[in-house]
Amino acid sequence: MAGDTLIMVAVFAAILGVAVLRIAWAQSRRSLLLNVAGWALLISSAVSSWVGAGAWGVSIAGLCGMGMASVLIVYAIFTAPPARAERASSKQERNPADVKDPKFLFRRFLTFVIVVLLAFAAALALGLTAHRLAILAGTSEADAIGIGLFSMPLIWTLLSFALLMTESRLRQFALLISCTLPSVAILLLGTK
Amino acid sequence: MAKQSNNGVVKRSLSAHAAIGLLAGAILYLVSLTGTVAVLHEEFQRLEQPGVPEMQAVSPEVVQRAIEQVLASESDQPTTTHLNIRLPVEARPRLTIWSDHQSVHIDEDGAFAGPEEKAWSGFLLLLHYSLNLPGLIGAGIVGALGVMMLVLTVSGVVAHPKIFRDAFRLRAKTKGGIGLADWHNRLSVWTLPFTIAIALTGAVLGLATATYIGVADSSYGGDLEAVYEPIYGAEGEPDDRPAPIPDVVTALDYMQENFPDVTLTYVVLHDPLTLGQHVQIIGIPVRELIFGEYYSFDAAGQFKGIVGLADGDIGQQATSSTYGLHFGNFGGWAVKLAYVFFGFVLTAICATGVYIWLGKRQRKGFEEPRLLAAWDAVVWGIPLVLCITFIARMVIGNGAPFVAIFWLGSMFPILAAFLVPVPAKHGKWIKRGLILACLIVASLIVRSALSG
Repeated sequence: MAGDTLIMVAVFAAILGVAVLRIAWAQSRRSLLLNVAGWALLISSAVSSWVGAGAWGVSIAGLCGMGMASVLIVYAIFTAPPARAERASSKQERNPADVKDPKFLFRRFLTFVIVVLLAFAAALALGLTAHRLAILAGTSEADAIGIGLFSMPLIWTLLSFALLMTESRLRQFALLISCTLPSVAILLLGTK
Repeated sequence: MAKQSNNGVVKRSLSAHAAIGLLAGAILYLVSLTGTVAVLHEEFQRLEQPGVPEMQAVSPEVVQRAIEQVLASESDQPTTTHLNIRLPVEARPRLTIWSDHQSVHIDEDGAFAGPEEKAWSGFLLLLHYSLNLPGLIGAGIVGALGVMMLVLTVSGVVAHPKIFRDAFRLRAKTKGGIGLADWHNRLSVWTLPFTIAIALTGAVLGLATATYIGVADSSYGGDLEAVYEPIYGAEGEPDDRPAPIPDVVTALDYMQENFPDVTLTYVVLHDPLTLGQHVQIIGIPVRELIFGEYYSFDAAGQFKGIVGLADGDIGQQATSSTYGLHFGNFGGWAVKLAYVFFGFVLTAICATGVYIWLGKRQRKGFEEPRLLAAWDAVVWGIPLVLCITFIARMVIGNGAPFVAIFWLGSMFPILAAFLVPVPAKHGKWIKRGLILACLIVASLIVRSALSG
């Protein structure tokens, strides 16, 4: 069966791809050839597993690639350099008596409200807008609902991250409003 | 200038990563742990009730006989709206029927084999799905945790510019926070596809109801069933006039003849014993992520069509693939074991993240032994209390108060962390308790498996 062969090829390419990247990233100088070979194997694994058995094939090949990486990480444990006391960050140790620990409770609560609650509301509005636009574009109802279901958490993710990366409160609110207002307008166009 | 700007992005991303990790860390850890254990929920169901008759396959005649017996046993009660027959499959080789009134096992001859008792597995799944909270709220919170996990993934990748270059660099034995940070980062990188798949499908599953309600309100005049219809197909027209028991034998024979490669999982009778009744058989085609395709039959067992979850619209395929991809039940034992392994890795990533943050605080001069003890109580205490609930199931029985044991039991070591005289020893005691509980659980599992 051609599907079986493609899945076998995909699994092999996933395992080999991770191994080649392991070798590439262990070089003292960057090896373009090995890097390209490693990534090409992983891409060819994804393509052949998709052609062989669709999303099921990609899932199986992906698990095999991650399994290979786990084996290499276990190997790295045994070959890790001996214990040394090294600091994870360059921050200097200070006398606890000299250290102030401001809690910023209100600021943190406001961040929670913006990133979780308001971003949820905005993402829901955008997800529903995506559904509405998909219907207007002529996709089937099932596809439009699927777009709504999957886009909502993805939009929430990206919006939350963008909000957390934005330092000014004003800009955070501007981002939320600029995302939400067009959605509300489209949703107010009427029901089906 | 560009380097400075890049440093700013990295710093802000790290700060975002820490903020979300601290906000959701404990609950994310709980959901990851319970999700990992729940991958084996079918196997736990078997352990909970070891004496139930098991079979690799069942004949259509036995299914028909069992349906007739169950419906006859409920003749003095209002007729069930749905009768669900769970067929034996590799992971759970048992025939079980449940209605609005009861849930019973059936033996190889189609006779009753006692009530189904799987309260612990049910508790475990609900703990993972909804934190034992009421439907929409609980599922919504867990869905939000999926989104938070995705934000942690994005911020984690952005915060580490050399994430791929260092992907195999594991200074596991180095102290001072480096070893722990390497563990956290390396495991995160190599389980990235798994984490994204689990977090996204978890978010979609948890937030689906909220989105469905929103779509219903914005596009279908509030009719929720009209939203489900394009994906899962329409419910039949109800007709309450009485009718004889539907012919399931003909329907199952048709499946055997026309879809021999499909693994049949359920037979569902809609509105049984009424003129509006129809039969739905759910089966998983070969090499599909979907939880099952719906094969529809009328009461005479005549084939009416397929809904199209396996090969219909992309929206149907994607929506019905989320459950299988989330729980890893699409490739037999090998995939299940891989999910358990990567699930524990994900759980460890959640645990180490907060330890890294506490370590950084300590190096900055903020000594917080009680906070560290409280996190120890989360990391070691939650699995300990989960073990205790399983022990309670096997010792007390199906009626043990699992929700109360778990939530009160989990709170206790966390609160105790702020009261014990020597917080540094708190985690050690909980770890000892966990080892003991694991040994008891292992012995109970062996005993149950042997008695089955």
